[in-house]
Order: sequence, then C-alpha cells, then structure tokens
Amino acid sequence: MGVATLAALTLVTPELARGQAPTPEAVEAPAEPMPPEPLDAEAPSDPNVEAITGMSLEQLLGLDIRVSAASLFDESSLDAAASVDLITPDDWNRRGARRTLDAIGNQPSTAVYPTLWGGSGVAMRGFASGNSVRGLSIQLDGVPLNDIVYASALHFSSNVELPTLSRIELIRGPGSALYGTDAFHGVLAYRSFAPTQDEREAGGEIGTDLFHRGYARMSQALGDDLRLNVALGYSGLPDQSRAYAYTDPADGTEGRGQRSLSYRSLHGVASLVYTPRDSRWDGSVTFHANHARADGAPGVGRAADARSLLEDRDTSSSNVALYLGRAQVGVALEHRMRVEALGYFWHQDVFTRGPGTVPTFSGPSVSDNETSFAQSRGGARLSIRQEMSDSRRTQWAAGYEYSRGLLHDGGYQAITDPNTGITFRSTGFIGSEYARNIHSLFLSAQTRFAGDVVRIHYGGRVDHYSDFGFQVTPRLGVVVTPIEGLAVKLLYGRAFRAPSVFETRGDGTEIKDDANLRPELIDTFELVLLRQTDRFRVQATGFASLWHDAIVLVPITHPSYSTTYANAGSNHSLGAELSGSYVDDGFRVDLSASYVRSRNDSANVAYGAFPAVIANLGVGYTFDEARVSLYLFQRLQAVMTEGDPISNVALRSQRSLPAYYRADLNVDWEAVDEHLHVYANIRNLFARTNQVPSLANAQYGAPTQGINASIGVRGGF
Amino acid sequence: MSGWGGVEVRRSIFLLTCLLLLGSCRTDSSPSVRIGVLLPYGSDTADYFRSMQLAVDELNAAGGVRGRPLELVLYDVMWDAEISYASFHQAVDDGAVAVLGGFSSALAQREAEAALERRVPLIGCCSSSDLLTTIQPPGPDHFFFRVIPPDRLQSVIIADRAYNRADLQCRNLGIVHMDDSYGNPLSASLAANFEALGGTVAASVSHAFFTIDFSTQVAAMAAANPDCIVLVSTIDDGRGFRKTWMDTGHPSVKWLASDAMFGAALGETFADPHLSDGIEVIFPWDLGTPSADAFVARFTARYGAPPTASALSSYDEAAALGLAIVAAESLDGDAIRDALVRVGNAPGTPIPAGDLEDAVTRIQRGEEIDYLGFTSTIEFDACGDVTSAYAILRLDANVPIGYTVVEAGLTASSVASPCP
Repeated sequence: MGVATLAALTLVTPELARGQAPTPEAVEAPAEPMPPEPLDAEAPSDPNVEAITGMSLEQLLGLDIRVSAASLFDESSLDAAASVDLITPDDWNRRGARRTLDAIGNQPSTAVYPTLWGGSGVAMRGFASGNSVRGLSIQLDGVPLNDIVYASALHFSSNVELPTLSRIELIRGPGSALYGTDAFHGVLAYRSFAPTQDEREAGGEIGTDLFHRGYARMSQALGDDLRLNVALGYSGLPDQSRAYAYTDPADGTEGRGQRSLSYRSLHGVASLVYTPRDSRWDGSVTFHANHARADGAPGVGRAADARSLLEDRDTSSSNVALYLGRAQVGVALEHRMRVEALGYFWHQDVFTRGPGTVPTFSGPSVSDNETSFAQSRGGARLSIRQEMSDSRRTQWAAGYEYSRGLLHDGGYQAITDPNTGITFRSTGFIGSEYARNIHSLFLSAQTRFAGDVVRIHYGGRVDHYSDFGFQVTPRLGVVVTPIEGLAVKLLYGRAFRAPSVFETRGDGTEIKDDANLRPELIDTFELVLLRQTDRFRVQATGFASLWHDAIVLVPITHPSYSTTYANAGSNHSLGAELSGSYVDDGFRVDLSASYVRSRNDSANVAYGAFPAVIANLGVGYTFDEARVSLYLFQRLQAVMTEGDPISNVALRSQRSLPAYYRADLNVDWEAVDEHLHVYANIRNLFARTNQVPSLANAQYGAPTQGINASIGVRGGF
Repeated sequence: MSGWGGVEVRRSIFLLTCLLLLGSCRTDSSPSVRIGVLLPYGSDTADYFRSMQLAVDELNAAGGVRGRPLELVLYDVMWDAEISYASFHQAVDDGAVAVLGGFSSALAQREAEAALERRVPLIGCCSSSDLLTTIQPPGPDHFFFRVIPPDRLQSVIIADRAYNRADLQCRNLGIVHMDDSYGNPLSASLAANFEALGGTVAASVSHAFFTIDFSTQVAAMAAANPDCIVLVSTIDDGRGFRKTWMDTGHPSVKWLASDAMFGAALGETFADPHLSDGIEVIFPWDLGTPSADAFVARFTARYGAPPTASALSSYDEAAALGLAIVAAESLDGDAIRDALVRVGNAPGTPIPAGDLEDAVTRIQRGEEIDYLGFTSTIEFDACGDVTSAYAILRLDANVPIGYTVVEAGLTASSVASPCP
C-alpha cells in the first residue's frame, strides 16, 4: 500500500561479502501472498558472478530485487515509486543489531532515539522532536500496529525479536496513499519468519554487558499443501547503571543520576500456510504474542519545564503484552488478476510508570505516574489487482479496508504527588471508552508509455474517520528509464496523520482536551537518480517536504491545564541522500549518507535534534579458505543539538552535541559447513563517549553505550 | 508429518499457548471498603484530601467497618464537570460504596446525576448552590447530601451586613459573579435581599470561571459607580477583578465576598495573597471551637502545617460518611444513604466533631448517634441540606492564619427552603 515517493532500494545480502549461498528467505520466491507484499526476490542466473559468490551480481546489488511495499505490485527497484530500504537477517546480523530499531538505524536521513517507557522515537528527513514517536506506521505481516491512544507503536510494541522475522522494509517518506493515517514520515514493515523449505534453527548470544538472547524456530511441511512455521525469541539486558548529568534546579550545581536501561523482550509467532499446487486458492493463519518490559528507561527530561525538575529520578518503565491474530485468503483469476482478503485483530495491555507533572500553586510539580489501560484494533481488507503484461500497458490494484481501534474502559492513571505523598487517579483521557472506525478505499495504478521508457504511477486513498470525517491522500510519480540501468524519477505524495486519543483528550494533568483537532498533512516532492551497472549501484535523491497543520502543543489559560494540542504548526525540510553498494571478489562496500536541513517555520527555529549530516560506511571481506567474514561498520551523525529547541511550548536554547561516531566490528566464522556459525560483535570499537539528542530535552542528550562485545552461535539442525 | 515435526509442533503450540496466558490473571484481594473522592487535585487543594484521610484513619483506628478498613481512592476531576461525572462512574466501577465530592456547585451537579444513576451516596463539602437543593427528589431516590449550607442563607447575611453594619452602610451595591450554578443564583438572591432592605444594586456583572482579562467587567462596574462591591467568585477571579479595578485607577470601594473567596489561589496569575487584603469574606463555619482547635492540632502534628480553614468541611464530610458506612446494615447504596441520615440527625448521643472513636464504639454497641460536625449542625433535611452559623473574616496576608475575625455567630434562620 502507500506510496508517495520513490527512491533508494538497498539490498543487503551478507553472502556477498562471504561468498556464500544466500539464505532461503533472502531470495525466496513468493511464499505467502500478503498485501502489501513487502518484497519478493528473484535470482537471475549470471555464471560469472555465481562462480564467486553463489549469487548473481544483480542480485547482490539489488538490481532485480522486487518490491511491493511501495505499491500493490511486485516491481523492480528501477520502477519502484518509493524510498524503500530492505533489511534482511544477514544485514542485521552483520551489523550486530539487537533490536528491530537497531536494524534500521543505519539508513540515510533516519535517526533513532531512546525515549520514554523504553520506546524509541524515529525521526526521518529532519523532523526530530517530542512528536517523533508518532508519524511512523509500523506493520507486522501487513497488520497495522499503531495504537489509538498515542497513534504510535514506537512506545510499547515496536520490538519484535529479530530471529522471529524474515525481513524488514523501511519506506522513507509519506505512505498514506496506501497505508492511511500514521504513514506520515514513513512505513516500517516487519515480515515474520516464513520460509518455504523445512528448517530448524536455534541460537544464543551473550555480551560483556550481560545482554543475552536465545531463539528457536522451525518450519515444517505438513503434507503437500500445508506448512507450519513457529519461532520464539527472547532477549534481555540487565541493569546498566548508565550515568547521566543534569543541573540541579535548586542550586545550579551539576548532579548525577543513573538509568538501568534494562529490558526483557519475548516474541512468539506461529503460522499455518496453505499453498496448494493444484489450486488457485491460498491462505494463511498467523498468531503473534509479544511481551516487552523495560525498566530505568529515559523519563520526560525537561519536556515540561526548562529546568531538570526530575533530577536523579528521570526514569520510566513499562510492561506491555500484545496478542495478534490474522487470517488471509487469496485466489488467482484469469488475466493476471488476483483477489485477496485479510482479517486481523490485536489486543494490548499496557502498564507504565514514570515521571509526570501536576499543576500547583507555583507551576508544575513533578509527580510519579502509573498508567494502565487496554486497547485493541481489528480490521478487514479486500483487494483486487491486475498486473501488467506484454499486451496490457496498465496495471492496477484497488480495495476497501475497514479498521476499528478501541480504547477499553477501565483504565486510569495513578499519580503520586511527591510534595504531599498523595496518590490520585486521573480519568482525564484514559478512563473511558473511545472507539474509532475507519472506512477506506484505495487505488494504485501504473501505466507505461513510449515502449517501457516512461511509467506514470498514480493513485490515492480516501479514508472516512468516525471522529473527524474524510481525508484524501493522492500520489503521483513519473519514472523515466532512457537507457538500461538508469532511472530518473519525479515523485509527489501527500500523507496525513489523524489526531491520537492522547492529543484529542489531553493527558488528564497538564494537557487539556481538544475535540476540534484535524489531521496534520505533509506534502513531499522527490527527484531520484538511480544508476546501476554490473559492478555497482548508486542512487541520489533530493527531497523537499512541507508539513501543514502540524499538531503541536500551545499554551492556554486554565486553572488545571497549561497546554492543549492544536493544528498550529508548520515545518519544512530539504535534503539530499546518497546510497550505494560495490561488490567484487568477496569484497563489499556499503555507503549511505544524507544532508538535511529542516525548520520549524511556526517557531522560526531549526530542528536541531536531527543530525544534519549522517554518513554510514560498511566495509567487508570474506576469507574463503578460513570461512571467516569480517565487516566493519561505521556511523557518523553530526551537526545536532542536545534536544529540540521547542520543548513543550517554550523556546529554549540547546547545547550543540559533539559528533556521534561509532564503529562496530562483526566476525563470523562458519564453523561447521553452513549450518553452524560462531560470531562475535564488538560495538563501539574505539570506546567513544557518545550522546544522542534527547526528544524529551534531557540535558546533555542521552548517553549511549560504551565499548562492549558479545559472542554468539546459531545453527540449523 | 514427520515424528520430529509432530512432537515439535505440539510443543511449539503448547509454548505459544502458555505465552498467551502469561499476564492474563489479575487478582484483587483488598479487604478495604472503598470511598471515592472527587477533587480537582493540586497542592493547593491537597489539604482537603488530607483532612478526609485524617478522618478515615481515625475511623479505622476505632475499628473500621466491622474490622475492614476504609480506603479513600482519589480521582482528579480537573475542574471539569464531565470528568467529574466520568470519575464518579469510574469510582463505583473500582468498587467505591460511596463518594466524597461536590468540590464546587458546577461539579456537584453532574456528580449528583451519576449518584442517582448508580444509586450510590454522594456527600459534598463545598458545593453550596441553591440549585442543588432540588437536584434530586426527597425520598428513596435522594443520594446527594452536603455539609455546607445552601447559598440562600449567606445571601441574606451578606445583604444584611452590607446594608446595616455601621462601618459599611452600603447603598449602591455592585455584584461581580461567576456565570455558573454557584454565581448566578447567589448573586440573584443577594440582589433581591439587598433591594428588600432598601438598597440599590448598581450593577451585577458576570464572568467565566478563571478569567484573566477583567477589563470589560471593570468598565461596566465602574460606570455604575458602586460604593461596595461583593465578589461572588473564586479567589483567582475575585483577585483578578479587584486588581484590575485598582490598577485602572477607579475609586476606592468597600469589598465583600462570598465564601468561595476563602481559600487558596488555583493559578499563578493572581497568586499574590496580598491581592486579597482587606476583603471581608463570609464564612459558614465556626473556626474557634475547642473541637476545631483540636482538629487543627492533630492535622498539624501529622502533616507539619495547619490546614486551610475550608479543610474542616472535608473532615466533616468524610467523618459523617464513614460513620454512616460503619452504621449501615450493608454496603448497599440505599443502606448507606439511610444510615447517613441516622448518624447525622437527632435523635442520638451527640458526638462532637473529631470524637470518632467514641462514635464508632457507640455504633458498635447498637446506640444511635448524632454527629455534630465542625462546620454545621449536620442535621440533614429531606433534600440533604444543612444549616450553619456564619462568620465574617477580613483577609490579611500579614497575619499568620491569613485573616482576622470581624463577626461570628451570624444566622439566617428565617430563610425559607424550597425543599418540599
């Protein structure tokens, strides 16, 4: 679904560096029809390259990787109408990623920040603020995980244990034309473990910081037509006691606090896939269970006050369980048509504890808040599509979707005023039921002209929300391929984000409700130049985004509240992105870089918390005889401040942060043929003391981890 | 299916099922008897809750409800009647058998609706609007009570003192009032009573709750040239009007105020306590009795500072309701409601305010009691109203307790009640 922009498609296949055969999921044929099907790969034969790597060079460079997250069709990267980054298991293994958002933190013009309750903010293309927990649509097997309370999945359930996934796709740019609300800055699509061959694998890892994880997964054919896939993964990180600094609001001296930054994460998935060889019908049933607990995570920093009121208590924690079920059925028709139906439902129980504020005679005072609520989301999607053929110049897909989000009754906030010791409950936004029903129609089409030199992408989506009415999001793209291996793309897309319950109802303590909020809108224009040869692939993208009616906090006069959300902001960003890969004789180089300038026009300040400069460089080499692969990955983020200049409703000066630089080394030894790997990761190899900006405006940003190492093993049996 | 696959499949399904069941069990084994508290929470209103907690702790020390402790569960209603209404329901859903609320008349109106819907008693500390007298019919469908007398009493006394007191001698009265269920009926009855005495109401101007800019109201009042102004407003609004009046150079007048002007400021804009200096406020409770002094001493010993004077009413409402729950035959709303009238009204052994241990002991012995209270006689009529003597206090931030007593023992016994 959703498109708006075209751009980078990055294929990361570690086999390239190691000269190994690709893992099944990296090149698998379509396993399970699933709208939107994130990616399907084909492996054209190329004997010259295969002799070295076991894969075609086109495949290794991503020349023929086919994506559909940016439309409803399978299409090559040259034709794709969006900036889609593909992250495969070998990719995140090579970079030593521990969590799903680690796995996307290396993309151009993308920054990931630790934040409240152990969640993460993800800022794209310049817009980094306290609102960066919203505006990213997260999909698990095509099911939207964004919740109704915060319009986000980044607070609680964004981490899906990596061994239970087969791949991740990241769209940078607006995606509402296919995904509707929340696909504002981008789309993050997880595809769960679903191989097409029998497989049994287990593994574990332990680190010097006592990070630990284990997983087991298996795929088993049940006769000719059925396949059962089961994966269970766990990871944990104990108390890190990581120090942070602040200025004592009472006497101006520097104080020190500690955050444990510990977590436990468990994810299980089981799917039953029906793919008969002699029938047009196929289908699947999938069930996920996710439990996440975080303690000693960052708190609210200076979000409510210019001073570090929380001093050494600026921490938060959460305990969240999510259960998700989905069922899908599809049928292939004549004339390359296909009809698919999807139904899904998830339920989430949330408990959080963390600092907040209570209004007092002399301004906000720090409180300790406990929040408990339950929410669910369910929906159904029916789509039909017809693909292009030699005689058909247009392909199209259309569909209808219904979605219902529900905040269940019975939740509350328990707030303790440390000045009085009194605990009270607030039902300001969370104590009563709230339902949102969405009916949507979507269309995505593509028509070719002048042979196959020019392709026009067009389409859009119409949503009707029970709480604020209609929203229309169009998209348009022109792709010109004047010569083989060269594409020039001009793209436009609009996205929107519907107000969350939190924004419309307030927080029950400081932020007043506003039932008149409207969706915020963003228009993005992109110019993409993509060139690929038999040795390299490089893509350059220039973009401009205009953000209208932004939902921001504004001050109000009221005895109990100090702010409310309103459609009062406007922003813009301009930037350039460069990405590329080079592969030859067991040697590989991956590069991505961006330069972004973004500005809050309504406040007339720059988005300082977003690094204007991002550069990532990965270099790998495989020693064939020793069956050892080395990969050194370096990331640089520079020109940024400790937080967003707009904190709550006040404009505040922010210190500049030193450049963030980190180098990670991965060593992978194929111990016993291809079935047993022993590997080691050294993170922050040069022991740099790094900080990243704090979206909650904590002083000096958020300190990051020092040097640490881990060793692990994974093997099939 | 292979043998390995079959075993592993079943094991995997079992593990996933176990995973699903994790965290799905919740228990609530609390033996306490819950009372919901609806309060617009802030550090300035914390004393109201502390007073309630003090009363409940004293009841629990005396044995509680047949061995079960009473527990207060506080809900912040944010000065929002709809949140207050929702919070009432939430409190009952959370197990509350009765509710302490009615912090303002506007809040009490919606809370009383919820009380009738859930048939759960509601007792208010501070909601004095005349409109509340008839908000529920007398009899089996009446669940709203309050320990503060209705405003028709103070309107008689304010009018009388303004017109007749030798040092006031008001003849051309200005009234500034909130445009709500508290300000509108009180200002109307005040105007009628003042005019009945022979005075003239020069102007009656209204304002919204928590107004910042009073320039319009001040201009309208100044045009009427009053000799006295009565503020029927919260302390923030009253200070705001008075500050604007004085800052814009209008002539000096005598300032009086209704009971809502006695308390702590809620916001920061007019927080300076000296903005109230010299205003004479009518106050419905007796602050100088031995039992009140003993309460202040107990409160101070526990919390380290004396309570705001209005917090006495919170003690009273919590004490009366707690005793009713102790005396009730069951925790059913009707039973508690009936018991509230029994422990509050004569006949019975009079119980001075604060002597809760004696009250519980007598109830446990099967005796009838008559809880007197600090703030009124706590003799509920058929509409849940009480009567009280009034005092007039002159606000003065230069003295430690913030006021000096000008007059005390003022009554308005001749006022007719609309209660059937």
